Amino acid sequence: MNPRISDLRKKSLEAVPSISAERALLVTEYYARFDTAQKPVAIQRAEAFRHILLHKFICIQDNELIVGERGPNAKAVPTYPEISIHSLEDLDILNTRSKVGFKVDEPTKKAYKEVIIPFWKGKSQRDYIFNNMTDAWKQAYTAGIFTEFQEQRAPGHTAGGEKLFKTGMLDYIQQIDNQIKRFTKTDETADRLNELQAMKIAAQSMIDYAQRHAATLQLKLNVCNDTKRMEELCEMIQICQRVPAHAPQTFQEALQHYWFIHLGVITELNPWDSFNPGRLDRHLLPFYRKGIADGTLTRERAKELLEAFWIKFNNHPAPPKVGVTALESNTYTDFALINIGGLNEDGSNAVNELSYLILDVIEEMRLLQPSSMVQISKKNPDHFIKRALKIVKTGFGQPSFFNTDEILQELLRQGKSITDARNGGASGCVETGAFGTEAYTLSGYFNLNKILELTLFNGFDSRTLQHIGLKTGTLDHFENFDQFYNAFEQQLQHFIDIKIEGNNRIEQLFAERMPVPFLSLLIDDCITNAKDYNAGGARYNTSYIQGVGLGSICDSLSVLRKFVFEEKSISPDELLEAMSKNFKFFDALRCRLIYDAPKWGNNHSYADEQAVRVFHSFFKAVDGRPSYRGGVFRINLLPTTSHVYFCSVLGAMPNGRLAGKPVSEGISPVQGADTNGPMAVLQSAAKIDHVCTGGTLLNQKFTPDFFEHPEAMNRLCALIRTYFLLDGHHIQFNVVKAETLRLAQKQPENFRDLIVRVAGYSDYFNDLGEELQNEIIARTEQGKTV
Amino acid sequence: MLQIKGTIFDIRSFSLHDGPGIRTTIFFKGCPLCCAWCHNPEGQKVEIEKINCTRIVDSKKFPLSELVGYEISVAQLMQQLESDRPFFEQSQGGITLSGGEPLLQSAFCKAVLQAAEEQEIHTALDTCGFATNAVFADVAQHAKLVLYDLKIIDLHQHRLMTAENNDLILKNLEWLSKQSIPIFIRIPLIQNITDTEQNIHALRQIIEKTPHIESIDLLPYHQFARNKYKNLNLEYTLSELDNYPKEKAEELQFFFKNSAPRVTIGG
Repeated sequence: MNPRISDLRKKSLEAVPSISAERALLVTEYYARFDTAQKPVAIQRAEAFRHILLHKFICIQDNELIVGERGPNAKAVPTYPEISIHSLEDLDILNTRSKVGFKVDEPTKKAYKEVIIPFWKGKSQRDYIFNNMTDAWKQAYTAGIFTEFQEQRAPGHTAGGEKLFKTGMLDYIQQIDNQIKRFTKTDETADRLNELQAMKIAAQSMIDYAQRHAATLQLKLNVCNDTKRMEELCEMIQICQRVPAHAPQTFQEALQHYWFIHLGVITELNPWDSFNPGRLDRHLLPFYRKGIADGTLTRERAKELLEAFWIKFNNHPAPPKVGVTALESNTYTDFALINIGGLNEDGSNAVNELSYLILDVIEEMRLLQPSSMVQISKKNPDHFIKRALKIVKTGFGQPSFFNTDEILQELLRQGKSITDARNGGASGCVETGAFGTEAYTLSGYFNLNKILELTLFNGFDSRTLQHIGLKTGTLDHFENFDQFYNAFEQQLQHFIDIKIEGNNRIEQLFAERMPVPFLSLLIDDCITNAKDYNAGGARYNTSYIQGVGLGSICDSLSVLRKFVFEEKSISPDELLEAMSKNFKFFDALRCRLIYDAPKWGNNHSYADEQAVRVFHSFFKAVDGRPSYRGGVFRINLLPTTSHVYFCSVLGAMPNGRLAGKPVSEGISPVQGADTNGPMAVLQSAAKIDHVCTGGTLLNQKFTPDFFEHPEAMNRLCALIRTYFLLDGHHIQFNVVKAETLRLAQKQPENFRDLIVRVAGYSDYFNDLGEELQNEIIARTEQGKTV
Repeated sequence: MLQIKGTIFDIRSFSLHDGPGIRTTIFFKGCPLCCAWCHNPEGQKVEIEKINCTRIVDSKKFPLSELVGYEISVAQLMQQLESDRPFFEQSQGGITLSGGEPLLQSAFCKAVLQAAEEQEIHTALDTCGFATNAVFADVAQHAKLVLYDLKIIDLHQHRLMTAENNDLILKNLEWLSKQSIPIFIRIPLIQNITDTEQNIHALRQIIEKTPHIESIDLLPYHQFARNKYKNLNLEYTLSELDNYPKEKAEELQFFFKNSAPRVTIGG
C-alpha cells in the first residue's frame, strides 16, 4: 500500500471507538418540536433523517479520497434512542468493559442524563416491544431460549443490488413522482402517499448531505497549498456535487456514491446487519473497465481507491449493544460482507480482473471491517479459489468460501426468480439473500440445547426455577428414544410458536412505528408498492430464526439414545443427577460420555442421524410460517457469538459438557469432538439439507504448517469443491496459532480434532508427546505470519 | 471375494502424504519387518492387541486399555469408503493401503485392490516389498501406484536394523520395474543408519537403473512415535535419536534430484 493509505489505515486502527451523542441529540431535537407528533409517522422518520443529515458535523480527514463519517469522527458511534435507550449504567459499562468497549466522555453522559433519557424514556421501540410481549415470551426470553435481534436494533440485513450503482437520488425522486401521480388521495391511499413523500424527503436529504461534504471540501481547498492535493480536492468536490444525486460515471464516483448511501442507511436507523454493497466486483466492473479504456484510471489508482473505501468501513464499528444483545454478538464488526466471484445475471462466470484486485486489497488491508467472502460456483476457476486460499494461509480468517450453486438452489426453493437469485449472495455471517430485492431479517438465535434441557427436566428450568416448558414427562417414563424425541419435538414446537408470535408483534411495531424511507428507496419494489421496507414493501420478505448448537445437541441425543435407551447402561436418574451436580464426583461417567459415544462431525452415521433429525424438526417447526410483513419464516444455522451467551443459561449436558462451557457453533462439531479429520467433518455436515436453509456456518481449523505441503492448496481447493458439490453452503478456515496449541496442551479433551503437521506427516496434536508438542508450539510461533 | 476379512488398525481420511490427491489410508495390521524407527509400532503384530492409554478429562487421568485392530471384510470396507468417493474424484485421489505391511495379509490386500479397481477407485500400495515374488506379483499387479520403501541396501545392515534380509525386497523392485505401474520410492531418513554415504550412493544406483520411478519421497525421522512404544510396553531403541535435521534432508533432496522427476521431503 502507498504511504497515504498506510497513514489512513494506521489512523483507522488507532482510532478509539467512542459513543457520540450527536445523532441522539438531533433526533431528540426534531421529535421535541411542537408539530412533529401531528405528522404521519413516515414523514416524521424522513424529517428526522433530514434533520440529522442537515446538522451533523461533517468530518473529513486529511488526505482522504472517499469521504463521510456516520459520527463526528472516525469510530465515533452514534446512538439510536428511538430504538433503544442506553441507561447511564449502560454507558458506564461501555466505557469500562475490557472487550468491545466504547469511550464515553462527560458531555455525552450529561446529554444522556439531561436530555436523551428524560425525553425517550418509555417511548423507545424497545419499551414498546417489551410492553407488547406475552408472559410466556418474556419467560422464554429470560430463560435464554431465544434472543431478539430487533430489541436493540432495527430490522436490516440487506444488501444493495446493481440498481444502487445505476441510479441517482434524482432518479428515485422521478420514480416517486410518477408513482404519486397514480394515486388519488383517499383515506385508503394516505399511508402509501405518505410513504412515497417520506421517501422523496429522504432522497433529497441525501443529496443535500453530499452537497454539505462538497462545501466542507471547498473550505479545505481554500486553505490547501499542495497542488496535487488541490487537484484531488477539486475532483472530490465535483464528485460530491454529482453523486448520489446522479448515477455515478467513474470508478471513484461509484465508490463515493455507495459510501454516501451506506452512511444514509446506517444513520437512518441501526439496522442489523449494517448494509452491504452486494456483488462489488460485478457492480464496479463497468466503471473500472471504462476508466482503464479511456485512460482516466490505472490499476494502481483503482486499488488505492478501494483501499480508501475499505478504511471507511473499518471506521464504523457496530453500534454498541448492551445486555443479552451484547452477549450474542460481542464484536465491533457490523457485518458488511463483501461478495466477490460467483455468477453473472445470465449465469456466466462472474470472476473478473476486479475480483482479483479486490483480493489483493483484502490481503493488503487486513482490517476487521469490511468482512469478505468469495462466492464459488462450479463455473469459477480453481485459480480464483487458490488465490483466496493464499490469504487464508496468512491466518487472517478471511475471506470465507460460499457455494453459489447451492445459494441459487436455496433462493429458487424460496420462490425467487432465477435472475434475482443469481444477483444474490450471502451477507452478514452466512445469510442468503436476493440482493436489492429482499428484506431478509434475522429475528433471533434459538437455543436448541436449552429445549433439550427442558425436555430432560419435564419443562422445568432449574436456572430461573420456573416451569416454563410443557410437561412432556420425566426421563424415566419414556420407553424408548423415539418417545423421548417426540417430547423434545413438542417442546421445540411450543417455543417456536412463542418466538414466531412475538416476532410478528415486533414486525408490526416496526411497520407501524419505525418506517425507513431511505432504505426503502434502495430495495425493490418498495417504491412501486409504495410500501416501506419495514412494512413488507420489498419484493421478497423473509424472517429467519437462527438455530444454534446443532453439534452439541446431536452429541447429547446420541448419548441418550445409546447409553440410556438402547444399552440402558446409564440410568436416567444417574445421568440427571450427574448433570445436576455438573458432573462433580462423576468424572468417570463424564469421561465415558465424552469418549465412548459417537459424535457429530466424524462421518459416523449413528451420531449424524441425530443431527439430521433435529435439523428436520427445526425446519418443520419454522419453515413457511407466515410473517406479519407478508413474508415467511425460515431457518438458518449460525451463531455469531450467541453460542457463548447460550452456554451461560445452560446447565451441564448429556454429552459431558459442563455448565457454562460453550455449545458448538454453526453446524461445526463440538469443539474437539471431530477426531476423523476435515473430510469426515464435511461428510457429516453435508448430511443436513443446506438447500432448505438460508445459510449454515462451518469452521475448520488448520495449523500454519499445514500449508507447507506443496499440494496443500490443491487439496484444500478439492476439499472445498467437494463440499460444495455435496451442497455445503459455507466453509471458513481458521489457521491455528501457538496460543491455541498451548491451550490444547492443557485441555486435550477440547482439542481432540487438532491436526498438526509434524515433519513430513500430520498427526493429532493430542497424540504427540509433550516435548514434541512444545517443539511444534515453538515452530508455530516462528512460522507466525501475522 | 467381498467376504474376505482382514485386520486393520485405522482408516484415516484426508491423508496428505500417501500419494496423489485427497486419499484415505487403510492401515493393515502386521508387518514382517521390525524396523528400529517404526512409527506405527501398533501395526507390527497381526493379532489384535491391547494397548494402554490414558484419557484426560479436566486434567484428571483415566487409564484404560484399548484394543488395537479390528476385523473388516472387503465389502464393509468398500461400503465405508463410498462416501469418500466425491473427494477422490475432485482431487484425483484414492485409497492407499499401508500399515503394517499390506502384503502380509495378501489375500485381503489383493481383494481390496481388485474391488477398488472394479469400482474405479485409484489405489496406492504402500509396501516394504518383503514378500515372495509370487505373492508380490499376484497382489501388486492390481495397484495403480506403488509406494515402495527402500531403506538399506547393505544386506547385513538391513538385517541388523529391520530383522530381515533385503534380497526379496530388491528382487521385487526389479520385478516391479518391468511392469508399467508407476513407483514412488520412499526412503526413511534415519541419522547414521539410512543416510550413510555408502547407503545413499547405493540407493541412488538402484533407483537410477529402475524405470517408472515418478517420485522419491524422503521421510525424515521424527520422534513422534515415542509415546506409542510406551503405551504398547515396547522398547524403543532409538529413544535417544533426535529429529532428522531439515538442512540434511534438503541436502539429500539435492543429492537425488536427477534420479527421479520429483523428489519430495515428506511425500
